[in-house]
Amino acid sequence: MARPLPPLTQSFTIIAQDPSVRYKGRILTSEVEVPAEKLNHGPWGYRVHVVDYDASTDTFYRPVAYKTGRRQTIRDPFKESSNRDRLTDPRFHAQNAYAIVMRILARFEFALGRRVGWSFKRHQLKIAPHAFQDANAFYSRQDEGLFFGYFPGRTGTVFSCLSHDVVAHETTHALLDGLRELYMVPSSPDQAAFHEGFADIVALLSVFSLKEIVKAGLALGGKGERRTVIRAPKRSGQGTLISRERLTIQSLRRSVLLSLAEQMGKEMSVPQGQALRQSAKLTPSRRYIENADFREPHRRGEVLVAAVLNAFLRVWIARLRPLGEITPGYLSLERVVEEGATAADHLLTICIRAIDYCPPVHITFGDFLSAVLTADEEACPDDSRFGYRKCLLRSFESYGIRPASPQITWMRATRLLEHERVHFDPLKQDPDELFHFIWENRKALRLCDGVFTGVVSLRPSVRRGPDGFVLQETVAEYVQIASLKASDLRRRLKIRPPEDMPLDTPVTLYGGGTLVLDEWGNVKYHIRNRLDHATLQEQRLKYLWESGFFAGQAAGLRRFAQLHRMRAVGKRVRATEGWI
Amino acid sequence: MAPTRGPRSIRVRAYHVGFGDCFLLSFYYTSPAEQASPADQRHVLIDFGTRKLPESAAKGHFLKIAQNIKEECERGEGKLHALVVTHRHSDHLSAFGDSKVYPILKGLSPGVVIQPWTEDPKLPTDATGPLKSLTASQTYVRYLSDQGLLAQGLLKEGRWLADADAATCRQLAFLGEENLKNLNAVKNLQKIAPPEKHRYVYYGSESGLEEVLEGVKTMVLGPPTLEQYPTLKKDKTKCEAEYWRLCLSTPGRGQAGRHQLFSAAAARSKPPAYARWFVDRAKMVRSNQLLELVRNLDEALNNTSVILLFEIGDKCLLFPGDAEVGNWSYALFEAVDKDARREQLAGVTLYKVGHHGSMNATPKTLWATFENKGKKKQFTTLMSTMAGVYTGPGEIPRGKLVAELQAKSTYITTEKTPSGEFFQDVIIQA
Repeated sequence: MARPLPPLTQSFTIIAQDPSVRYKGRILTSEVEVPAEKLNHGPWGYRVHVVDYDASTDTFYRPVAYKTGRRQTIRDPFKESSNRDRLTDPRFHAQNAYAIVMRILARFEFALGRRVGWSFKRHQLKIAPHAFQDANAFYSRQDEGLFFGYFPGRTGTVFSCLSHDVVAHETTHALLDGLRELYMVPSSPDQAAFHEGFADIVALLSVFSLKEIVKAGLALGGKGERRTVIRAPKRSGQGTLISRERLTIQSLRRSVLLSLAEQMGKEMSVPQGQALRQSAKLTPSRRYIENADFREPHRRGEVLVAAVLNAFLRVWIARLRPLGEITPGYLSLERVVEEGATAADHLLTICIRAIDYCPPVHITFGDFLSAVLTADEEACPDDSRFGYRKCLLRSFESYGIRPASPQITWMRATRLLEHERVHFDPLKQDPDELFHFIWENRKALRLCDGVFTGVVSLRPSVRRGPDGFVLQETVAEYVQIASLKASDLRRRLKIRPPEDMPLDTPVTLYGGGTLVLDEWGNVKYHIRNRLDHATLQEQRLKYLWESGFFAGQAAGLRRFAQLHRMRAVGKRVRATEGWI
Repeated sequence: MAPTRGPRSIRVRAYHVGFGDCFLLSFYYTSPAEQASPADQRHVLIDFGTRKLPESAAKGHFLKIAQNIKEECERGEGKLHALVVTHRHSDHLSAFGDSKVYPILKGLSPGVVIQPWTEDPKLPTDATGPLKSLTASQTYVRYLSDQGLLAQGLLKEGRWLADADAATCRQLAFLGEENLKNLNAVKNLQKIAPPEKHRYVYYGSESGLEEVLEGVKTMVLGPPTLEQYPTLKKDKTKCEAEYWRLCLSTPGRGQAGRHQLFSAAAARSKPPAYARWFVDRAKMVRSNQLLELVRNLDEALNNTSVILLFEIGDKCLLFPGDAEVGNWSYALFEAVDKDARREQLAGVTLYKVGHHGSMNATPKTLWATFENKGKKKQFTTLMSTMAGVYTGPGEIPRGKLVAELQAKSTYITTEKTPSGEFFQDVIIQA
């Protein structure tokens, strides 16, 4: 008899938002499916290893022990536990963090059709769920891990590892770093903000696939809103109904579902009672981008989040229009949630897939918009039904973000490149062969001459094409780097250093491009930021100089740790001041 | 009896206290100074503390300095006309916590005691009410007050992190100890003179020196109050205070092995071999985090420094304590009358180098403002410092700064105090 196939997923209980978000007095929990694996104690799997060490008290907590059942499944040891027991058991905290990280990882792999690696060489991302006592949580590439702090709240200790949004946000930092490692280099205000904004987008949109939570979130309403959920008449067989009044953009913006990290926000904010970020509430305005207050990465990232979330709300509302009312003024809550989940899922997939269409360094919000629109057009050429792309474009423009490409989507490469000296198969798998191809075509690709050039990544991308066939593309990144003194900038690259920058200041310039190769190995898109683009490099240098980067203010390998604290304490430096 | 005109000469005595500050300013209203009658002398002490005494210092070094101050004052009216304590760091006030030194200084009956507004005991530092009910200034003061406790906790944590990251923990210990509450010294300072003699100053306020230094114009250039500083929004300050409260208040901070969170789940043995690499990384992460916290505390206290400018005829003396750019920013960039202040600063003839010559206490804009730099006879820079004490990134004193001072001024450093001596004098003819 053939052995039955083991299941591909296993379920774990997680806290769906955080312990402060309750419905009918109960903490909202959910059972989520994550890729099945033979878990070791920890949890310790093939991509994630939880090490529960608390450096503030020098304490190592015993790991969760798992038993593999029949059909190689893991039994969730906390499935039957009470919420009280879960909150007081560090092993549940460890499992909660593990399950959310794996869920987000699986979501990225689903969107991209491939394994997504970390930016460091090892396979497993480490997680410290009770890393230290601090109102902070961050990803550190150097330490190959996610660190979650805890701190005393008004009604007990607040654990950042129990916040779905915080764990999803930090996991996204790690995944984005694996996909575009040069997004951590000092660049423009947009690049730093992109990491933060993108992490928020993933954290918020990924909640919508937890349908029970979305139902509860809608039933909870926004602050000060009256209850808008009723039981359907028995004859309709529809369960719960929700008032149409509740389903407006203005009302949904206030929803707990679109607020990030409620508990941490409530404990840290003054005035209290707010989530850490409520980007969806940011009223559309074209002024944010130029506003000096929106230079801080989290704050600026909120503009990106607001643009995506408001597009999401428009699509969601559009999808609800055809739904019939069960009783006058009321829709089926089940159907409303389904439509929300579908819209969020599609947008999340577009956003993740767009990363493949982004430049390898110096990303701007405009680049991301062009990448999003290109990625979706490639996958779904017909956008007429719900108009996702139209909604995205309108929403981004209402926040002052224009597509980077003059044609809105990226222009297809038209220049013929030489393939004679390279081989087809290795070109799609071997970075050396790809570099060979770039080298041979460096003039046609208009690379900067005389500087370091290297291939950063070479990845296959598999997805279903509009004709239903599986489409195999290859996404490659190359980078160009020049390290020189400020005095050499003008002479060698015709770039003017900032006015008061000492001429002996060492400066590193980055440039590079993303090559999207079609299934025949031809370059379909070449999305790039040239190293010798004088105007853009001058703008970046000016920003970095003024924000104190060259005085050592923004340096540091544990960038996210520093960034989060700077934001928490509202700290700003006098940008242009230096010291003798 | 009050002199009827301005001082004829000023002597700045820089005591060699190692890594710290201690200056006695003596104003002589007749010439030559040696013949000045007791009524023609005024003595002002600016700071008295150290983080580390010089290698050459014998036991009782501070006592010797205190006695010298007393002798100088006794040549005059037998009292210290003014005492200025720029801020609360130990390298500026530790002497006031010394049981032998303090009575001597108290015995000199300071005519006026000048401290930053953040030291005003009327501002409640131990308020337990909600933050919402406190003013921005009160919140800020509470935050500053909490820092000593926080530094203490952080130092304790640093003990078990040292095996993974010794260098960071050394820096942590240095800065942490400097930020300890110096409770004795602070309390003694409050008692050193009756309350009516204390002045808690801020940008643009009267210093209190006008009453005791006839013919000398004094200007307080820092610290600004929160109400004055438009870029330091009140809500942000409250956020900052709240953040520190969260850092501070977990019971069990600094108590290794007490497993305050989940004692039943704590492993009794050391972390297993497979986890050790990451445990070490976590310790490094934490030690770096603590260092950053302590640096923030240090910077916040430095930025409460009183910045004093003395104008005597065409001579101008600048004593900025340890003010860093956050403090200087107000006078240089934000104040309504910043142009007038810059004009005054242009004429500085003696600059006490800020923060022992560290990298972030002589802002370029300030340095650019000094018009006398480059004219060595007209411009003196005075630094009280000690190399090799601070072990963090960016040495103290900063080589680049010292080179600039040497090139563009008559540069005097307490490190070059002649062997056998414990002070150096700078004489300025008004």
